[in-house]
Amino acid sequence: MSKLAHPSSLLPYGSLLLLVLVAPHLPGIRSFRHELVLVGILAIVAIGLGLLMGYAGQVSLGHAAFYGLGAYTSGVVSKAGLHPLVALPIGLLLTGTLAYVVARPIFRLHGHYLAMATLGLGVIVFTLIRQLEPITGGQHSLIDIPRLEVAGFRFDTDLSYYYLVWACTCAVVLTGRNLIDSRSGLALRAIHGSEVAAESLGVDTTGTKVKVFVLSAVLGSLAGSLYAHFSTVLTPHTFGLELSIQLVVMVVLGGSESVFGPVLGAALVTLLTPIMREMSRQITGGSGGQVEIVVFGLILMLMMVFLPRGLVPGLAALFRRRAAAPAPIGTLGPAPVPAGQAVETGALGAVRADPTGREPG
Amino acid sequence: MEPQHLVQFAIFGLNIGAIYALIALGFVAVFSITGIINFAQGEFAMLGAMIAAWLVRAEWPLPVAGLVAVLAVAAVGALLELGVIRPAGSASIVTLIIITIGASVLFKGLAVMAWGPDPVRLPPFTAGPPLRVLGARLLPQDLWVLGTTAVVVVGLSLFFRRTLQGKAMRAVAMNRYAARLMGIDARRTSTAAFALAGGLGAIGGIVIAPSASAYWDMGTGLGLKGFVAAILGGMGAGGAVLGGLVLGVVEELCAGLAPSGFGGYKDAVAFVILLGMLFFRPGGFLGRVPGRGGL
Repeated sequence: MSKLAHPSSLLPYGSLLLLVLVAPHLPGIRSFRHELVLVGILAIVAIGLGLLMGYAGQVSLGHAAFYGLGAYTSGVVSKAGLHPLVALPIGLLLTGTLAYVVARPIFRLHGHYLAMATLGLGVIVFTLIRQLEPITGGQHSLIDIPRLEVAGFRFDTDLSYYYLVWACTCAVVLTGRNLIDSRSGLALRAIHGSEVAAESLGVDTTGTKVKVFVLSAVLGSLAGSLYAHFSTVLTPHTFGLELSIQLVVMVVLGGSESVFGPVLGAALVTLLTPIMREMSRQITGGSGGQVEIVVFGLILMLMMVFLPRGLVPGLAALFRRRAAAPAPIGTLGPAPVPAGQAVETGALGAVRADPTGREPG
Repeated sequence: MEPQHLVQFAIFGLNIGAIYALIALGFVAVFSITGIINFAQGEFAMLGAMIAAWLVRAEWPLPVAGLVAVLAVAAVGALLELGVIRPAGSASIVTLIIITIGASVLFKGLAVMAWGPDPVRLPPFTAGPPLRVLGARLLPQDLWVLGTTAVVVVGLSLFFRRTLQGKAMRAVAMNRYAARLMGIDARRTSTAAFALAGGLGAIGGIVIAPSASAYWDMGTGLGLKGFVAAILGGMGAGGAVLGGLVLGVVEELCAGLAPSGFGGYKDAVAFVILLGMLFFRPGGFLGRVPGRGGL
């Protein structure tokens, strides 16, 4: 937490907090409260995935599985009569255990093979959710999931749930930020830079990757539980490959090198989809509605070609160049320096006992 | 379970397996030469099927429509390489994966815009009554699928071994730098690999379209299964064909022999096999060095 004390580094957190507090009351946005809740929920998954992708450099195409596991565990357990706050940790435990069990063999693989293995995991969990009808309801959906009720207060309006979800999201942002600056975070960045170099400097690469994988799975499960009690209805297709890909899009769109990137990405993907659908309906006159998919694909390709680090680090770099001063936002990202140098600073930083010894810029 | 049922499932399996094999070959061609897993590979099959069906509906004769569709999708493949893969330069694997995922999403969206969300029909290549093989039905279209795949595999093998362009591609797959030192234009081979992958995918999509339905999302499943087949075969050309056929047959047998109510697990079979393979024998069942392709 030490870095948070610096006034300039508080700026982005303050802005986020202020935005979160006032957003649902702003005219024009008020009617989107439902979507804003979803943004907060998906942002939690995206932050977890962002830690895995941006810091450990491992892509997962199966994160919808963890989200789905959390959601269905919460749904099934709380429908069986247990309190949602009991169901939630059961989901976390279940998902975390699964992630831990599969993580070791999965991280023996690299690059494409790793991506494909996570994708396979996602498809298998999706198929199980769809087929285990007696438990999950299968194609007929799991309905009538109780709403969250704590100490007599029922979170049954969009606004109350909005504040609950975003409190969690903000907590996850802070956790993620602290993790990045911790010793493990530095180890992760070193792994992203070069696994061989990190290993030669004494970093337990597999162990560190497994840890962040389990963490990101648990965050996915938490978000899933929040979703279950918000939507009260779960259908299998919500948790398919499409969502896994959307989550990856959120992370790369916003930028995985900052905890704010995935949050921005989640907001853009969740909010732009209905807006673009509406626009395409107006342009094509009712029948259309596919324009948004095309735009989605185009954005994805062009972003990767022209702004591969994502919006937040890209904009931050632009901002920094404009200001030509010690960057307040720069302290968030791991590497304001070119990639080659980042390898060195990351790897060297990781073996230092005191993580605060490395101050970029 | 009567024996003719087993034969019938095997026929179904070989059919769909042949398509997996064609798509797997596309994966192998691109991976061996560029090191990229092209997540848009399944969409090549979809585009092939949709373009062919569209041209046939516009009264084009089927052979011409098929040929034009294959060439058009090969051009799409080449354009994908020239348009986004090459400009991305030496980007990381994650970046390249996401670029091809973006391309796949784009192709699907364009397909819905152009041809609508409903399945389109492509007539069987030749009419005629089904044949009887060991008590099982073998449709003329099944013969077309297996025959086309056989011709493509033999043709591809000759191409890689007998022609200059084919030999150049194999050389680049073996060692890009050494190939460049020998005066081979490695970048052009990359474009050629994507074009080849497009053509192979399109052929697969066109021959399967009459027995399955052609629609905008048909490529997702085919692409994933094709990739599993390629992994099973250790990312080599010969292994990919074997992997496709084995995967198709195992999948259909599992679906057919499973107790009723478990047929829905069919889609997971390929991925259970995939994970088992990746965890315990990452080189594929031919035991290659993992991660190294070959043509």
